[in-house]
Amino acid sequence: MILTWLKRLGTYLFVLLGLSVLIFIISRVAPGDPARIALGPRAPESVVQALREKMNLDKPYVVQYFLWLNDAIRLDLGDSLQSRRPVIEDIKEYLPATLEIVIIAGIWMIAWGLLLGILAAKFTGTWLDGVIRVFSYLGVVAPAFVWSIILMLVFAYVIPVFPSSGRISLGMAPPPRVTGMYTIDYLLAGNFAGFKDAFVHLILPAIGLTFGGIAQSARITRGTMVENSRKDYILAERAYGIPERKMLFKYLLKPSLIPTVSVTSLDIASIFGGAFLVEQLYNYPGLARYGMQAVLNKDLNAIAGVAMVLGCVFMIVNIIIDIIVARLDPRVRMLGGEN
Amino acid sequence: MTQTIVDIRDLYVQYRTFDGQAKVLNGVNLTVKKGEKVSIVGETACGKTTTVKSILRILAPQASIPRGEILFNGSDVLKMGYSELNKLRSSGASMIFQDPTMSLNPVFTIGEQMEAVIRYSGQSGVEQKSVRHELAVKALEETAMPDPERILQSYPFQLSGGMRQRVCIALSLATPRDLVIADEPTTNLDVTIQDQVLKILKQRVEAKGCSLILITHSFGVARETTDRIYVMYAGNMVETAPTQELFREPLHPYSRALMSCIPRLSGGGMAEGIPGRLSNYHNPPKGCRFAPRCPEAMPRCHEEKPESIDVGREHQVACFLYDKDGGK
Amino acid sequence: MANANDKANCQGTVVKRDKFIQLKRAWYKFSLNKTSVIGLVIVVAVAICAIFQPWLAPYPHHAGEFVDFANVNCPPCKEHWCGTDGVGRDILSRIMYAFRGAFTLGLGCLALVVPFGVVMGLIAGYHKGQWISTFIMRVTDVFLSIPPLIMALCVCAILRPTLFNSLLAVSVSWWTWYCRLVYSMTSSLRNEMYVKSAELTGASTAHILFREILPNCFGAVFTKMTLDMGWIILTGASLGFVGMGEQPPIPSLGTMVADGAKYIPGQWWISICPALAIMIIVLGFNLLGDGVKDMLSSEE
Repeated sequence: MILTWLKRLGTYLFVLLGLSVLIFIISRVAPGDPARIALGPRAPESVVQALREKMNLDKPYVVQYFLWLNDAIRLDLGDSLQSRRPVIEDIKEYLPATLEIVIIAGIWMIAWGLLLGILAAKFTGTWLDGVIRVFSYLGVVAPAFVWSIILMLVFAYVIPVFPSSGRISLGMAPPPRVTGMYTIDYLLAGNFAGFKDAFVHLILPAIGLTFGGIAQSARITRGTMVENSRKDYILAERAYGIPERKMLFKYLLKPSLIPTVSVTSLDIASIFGGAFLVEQLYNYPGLARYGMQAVLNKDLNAIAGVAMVLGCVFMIVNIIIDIIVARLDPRVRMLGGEN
Repeated sequence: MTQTIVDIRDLYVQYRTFDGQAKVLNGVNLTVKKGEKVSIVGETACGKTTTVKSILRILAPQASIPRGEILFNGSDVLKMGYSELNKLRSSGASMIFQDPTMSLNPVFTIGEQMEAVIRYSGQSGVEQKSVRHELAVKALEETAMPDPERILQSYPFQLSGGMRQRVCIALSLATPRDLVIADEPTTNLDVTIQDQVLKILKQRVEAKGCSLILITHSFGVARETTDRIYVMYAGNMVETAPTQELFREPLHPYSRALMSCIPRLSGGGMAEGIPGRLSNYHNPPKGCRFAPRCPEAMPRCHEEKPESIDVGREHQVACFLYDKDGGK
Repeated sequence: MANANDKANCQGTVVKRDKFIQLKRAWYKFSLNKTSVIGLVIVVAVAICAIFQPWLAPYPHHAGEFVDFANVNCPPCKEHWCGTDGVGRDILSRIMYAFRGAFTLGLGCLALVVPFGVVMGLIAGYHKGQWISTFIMRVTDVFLSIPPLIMALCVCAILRPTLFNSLLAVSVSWWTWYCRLVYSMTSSLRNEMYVKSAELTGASTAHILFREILPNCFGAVFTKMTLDMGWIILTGASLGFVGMGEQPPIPSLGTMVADGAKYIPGQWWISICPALAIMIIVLGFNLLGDGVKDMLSSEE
């Protein structure tokens, strides 16, 4: 069992290394001269040449990669073109805001996805099942930014109950920084009005990100539960007189959760991806909006930094999901799954 | 007068499919007395499993029962409310399924599953975990399982097929029951352990004094294990007789044909099959369902459904070839 | 000759039947679910719009550089079913022109991604347990280690924004899905008797991969392709939303939604109508994909 996890740890490391190669290729082998881009078209050639040497651009790509990796491991990701300060500083500032949105969206998604999936499975073939099915289709057919626009239109303009931009209201003082997540920091500072304000700002963008994921996990939960409910072991347990409620929430739900949990990884990936557009739309100062600005301004250091950091965060998410799957499924836990 | 445990009377079951209603059971009659071991023999898809599943009312949702009654200890299963039904399932009858790889929940340990079944069996004292554990260990020991403590902590995938099926036997007999239903319990096992599992099943059932319904497609298994045999064809019980008698004198043309399918060591050469196929359930033959394949079919057989008639002690046959006196 | 015989023997269940009856049967299974038929109708309608746009669009010239300040921000009415935008262009006409880009993106991306992903999956699945398989599968892990949309945005960042480049950007991580799908099928199919017997007759690896295993993967791959058309169009719209797709004045759905977002809530139709168009296309492909899945499944 320890061996399985060690093997898996090796896989994680390999993937992380592979990701760094990929990002390096994207950021360095890109058409155009990074030094020239950094200094602008008017800088004299001698200055550009000096920067090229400073950035090791004159060395072979393999050497460049290892130098870059060496810096990256020490969290030196270079300077950002937009903010003119180290990328890592920007990331430290903006990452918590995005995590806040993603965590809230993730919890919201899992809760509703499971609830709707279980309800649809329990009431298969009834009107409730039909309504949930229609919702599942609607959820996946529009990208997060479309849902966000619709939510914004309805809940920020037509019925103005939620703010349409920013992290906190104008005139609010940000909380003293502890975690960087405003809701938590306000709570730590004992400022409940501030907590409420920060939380209210999170709601629309977070919900806008979750429609696809809710629909997806509801669909999968329903499908697996309906499929499993025809399995012999469920029939057997029913035949042994185990009460229906116990069956549904324990003996049927546990084996049925495994595919849902596995696919949560993809849903969280699409939450992260969607955040790039939605934070932009809501003018929410998070890492995703920062990354989006970097993409639009061709700020390569910032892009590489954001991609690397989000890659690590996403990997942590995947590790957590792997652990949950292993807790649920003894075959994965003891045999190490299919790989 | 021994007590009757199960009495199925004129049971019809149909399944809703894309092509319309599949009329699978066509007036099934079956009785099992206390302590009696009965087997149902027939081809694949002749309605054996449907018959026993309807006793516990665990048929697929597409199934419906337009006619018939199933008396379990005198009360009609089909009219039971949920709580009554659950009492029947938890302490009246239990079922062992065909495929032991599928009939244990893959994500719970054997211990968790056995204790859950014991927990809801309605016995006294099972609220205590230690009592449940003891009962589970005892049940496993009784099925000749080595090291029950280790088995209880295992997951199904860690056990072999034979062991899983023994766990299922232990599970169904961990608490007192009136009836055990075994649906082809050895079909999916290695030939070498089929016999062993059957012996354990038979021995446990006899020790507990409960009744047994064994489904099988093998006369050999039926002969070894049970006192009485029901021969089933296309949703009908075509013949029933005590085991010895049926082997000595099978009456229904289908029973005779099935018997001749058993390969014998001495003489006769290869067994002959039965020409034709099991009838279509969507549009079954109007009269006797075996008539299209029957070598002795008469015009009447295609028109009317033959009723079961007594042709001897506990020997009934549903065929127009015989009259009430048992003569031809 | 011997080989052909063997093949006929080991695939013995393949019975030659009238093609027409097979088609009829397939259609019957497909049309059992009415929503699949709705999906097909939507997809065909959108495809017709995409192909015959100059004749079908009410104001074909509005698709390019066109200004009509007399009809700026006109709400949906009889002349303009979806209203007009900030410079007076008919939104319905522009949506119909944008369908072509959406279809090009979807089909182009699949054309790049499917052959590559399928071949990689075949190789990895057939050689499961060997280093080549492990390597390929770990590489797919690498490509999926950051969310696909973010990967696409990063690739877009270094390329000039064109339809073709956005197509490339989407393809960069998309092939991995086909690789994983075919991998899991191949790694179980390789234990089938007909593959084993082909191995014993000395058939080449290429023959086994492409003639014995690949035909059995077609159903699943085709189903996924139908569903993926929708997802790719969706991802393309996301790229368009941040200006990474087809460049103005050529209309693209994502760009139109983004432009319209500035006019919310006053002129809501400018962004909501193209947003609805995205939903309709994707819904069409989703319903169609489910129908294809039913059609190709062996279940009755």
